[in-house]
Amino acid sequence: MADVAAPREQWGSRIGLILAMAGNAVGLGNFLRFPRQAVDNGGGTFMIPYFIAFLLVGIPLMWIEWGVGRYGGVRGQGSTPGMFDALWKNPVAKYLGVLGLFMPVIVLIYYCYIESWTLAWTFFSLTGQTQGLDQAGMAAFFKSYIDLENGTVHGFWVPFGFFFVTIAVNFWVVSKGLTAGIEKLAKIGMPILFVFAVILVIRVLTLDPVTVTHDGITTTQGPLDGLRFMYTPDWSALGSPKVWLAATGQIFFTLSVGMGSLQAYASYLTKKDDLVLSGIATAATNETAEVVLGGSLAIPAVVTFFGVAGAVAVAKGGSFDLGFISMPLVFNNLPGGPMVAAAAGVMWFGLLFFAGITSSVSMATPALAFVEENFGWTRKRTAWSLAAIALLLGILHIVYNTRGFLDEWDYWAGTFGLVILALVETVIFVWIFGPNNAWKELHEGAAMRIPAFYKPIITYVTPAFLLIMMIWWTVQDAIPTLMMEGVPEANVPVKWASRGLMLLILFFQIWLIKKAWAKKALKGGTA
Amino acid sequence: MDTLATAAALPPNTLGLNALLFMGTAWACVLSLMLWSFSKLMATPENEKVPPAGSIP
Repeated sequence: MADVAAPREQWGSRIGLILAMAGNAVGLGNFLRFPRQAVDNGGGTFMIPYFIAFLLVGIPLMWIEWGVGRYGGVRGQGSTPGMFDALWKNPVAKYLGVLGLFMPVIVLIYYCYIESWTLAWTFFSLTGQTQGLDQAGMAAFFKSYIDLENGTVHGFWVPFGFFFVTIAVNFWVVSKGLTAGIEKLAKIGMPILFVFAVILVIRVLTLDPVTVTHDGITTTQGPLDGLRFMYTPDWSALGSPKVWLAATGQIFFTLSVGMGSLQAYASYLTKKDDLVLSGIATAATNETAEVVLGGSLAIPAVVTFFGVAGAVAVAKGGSFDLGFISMPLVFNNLPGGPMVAAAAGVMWFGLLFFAGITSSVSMATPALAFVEENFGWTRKRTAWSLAAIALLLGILHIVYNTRGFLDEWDYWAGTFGLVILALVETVIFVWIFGPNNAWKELHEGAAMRIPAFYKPIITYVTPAFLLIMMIWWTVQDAIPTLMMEGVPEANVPVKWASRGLMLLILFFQIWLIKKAWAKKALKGGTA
Repeated sequence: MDTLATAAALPPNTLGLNALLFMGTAWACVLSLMLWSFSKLMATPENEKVPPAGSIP
């Protein structure tokens, strides 16, 4: 393969790049997953392993992914097969890179479906459809939307309609290209997200205490009780490996590392661009959105209106129950009547939609770059072809959502697969490419030096953390999930079909890589 | 986490010292990192390079 490739599109500005990278990282998990994780894993003490994982795994992986991406990008490779092949001259490298194509495509499809819920709820909030409902009514309103077999509230076609619009908006943005599409979206979407979140945080934290009765116990609680509930330390949690792994997992998910999308974005950097400080700024922006904003919204609001016991019950129901059932109920109880409820609902689901779309467009980027660069397709043709595939496969998620179809994709690609890719890329970049080469690559064009103590961290500590996490998850979750423990008999065929389809997509992508490299070999490069 | 018991001992809508310390530290960490990184970025021209690794600055 030639070392110098034809000029590729570049980011228009550094702030645009950071907003796009931060947009990639800030997702639904910042506002829905983080508060639940903190509450479930020791409250305030959760923040200790959380910040340690941020420093030992999050920041190093952020730099590694930016480094891998830029190294590939300046050699004309915008996706991990080409990046790994450039870093490691071994025929296996490009096939290992399939992980960075497979995961973002798989996650993109079901993520767009979940993202379409936020668009739908923005519309429902605007039109007042969630107003006047009690807890049971709100739950029925949500369950009816996500379960077609129980479509008693919404019309059968409603979820399909919002999914179609979400896919169309996503691929319209990516079809416009890097600066005119993705960067512009980040420059508009990220400030809106932050403004909506800040307004909601101020409103939630200034709520007056409310007297509630839950299970016969009457208490008076305010938003500060919610924060106390979330941050009161449980020191015994520090001795639990589960808490440390939960914190590392949260850092992993929140920074969107191990996906392939950060590398794809970084591939549009040049050797003159800084990636050390920009990587820190991106991670810090994401952490602010998560800790300061995400941590101050759902739990304080829910504790105020449902009490601590009610919030515990809500948290047990899952992140989506918290976001789509409890939060609209909270808005309905806000002082100010229907207008305030509608405005708060639009801001909450609007910010979730922007958090979602700035992430999903990044997931489309690796596959787009791969097809464009290796098969000569135009951006538009690639984008709309991928949109058609996402639309067709997404329909399966809508139809079989409650049968576990989505859960399989979410677990194998959206959870377990991320650690595997992160481990593989760390080994290739730091160990095979070499720690000194990696260190030098990270400092090309850097606006600051990485502290020297980070070199052994990146070389040994980060891979060790990843390995431990992978082994733990394999024993704890992967084997029971593979064996379908506790899965209702009726859902087993659906789950197998879900896995089969994933494997089909994986093999198709491996075949595409083989074909692309055969084409390169014909043109005179090395396979 | 003995939150319910703690809640019973405090007046309504109170953060408490322990929670305040943990929340304040967490907020301070992320906000200061963000402000520091952005202020440093703003102060650095987009294409300014640091000396090569291993050289004396």
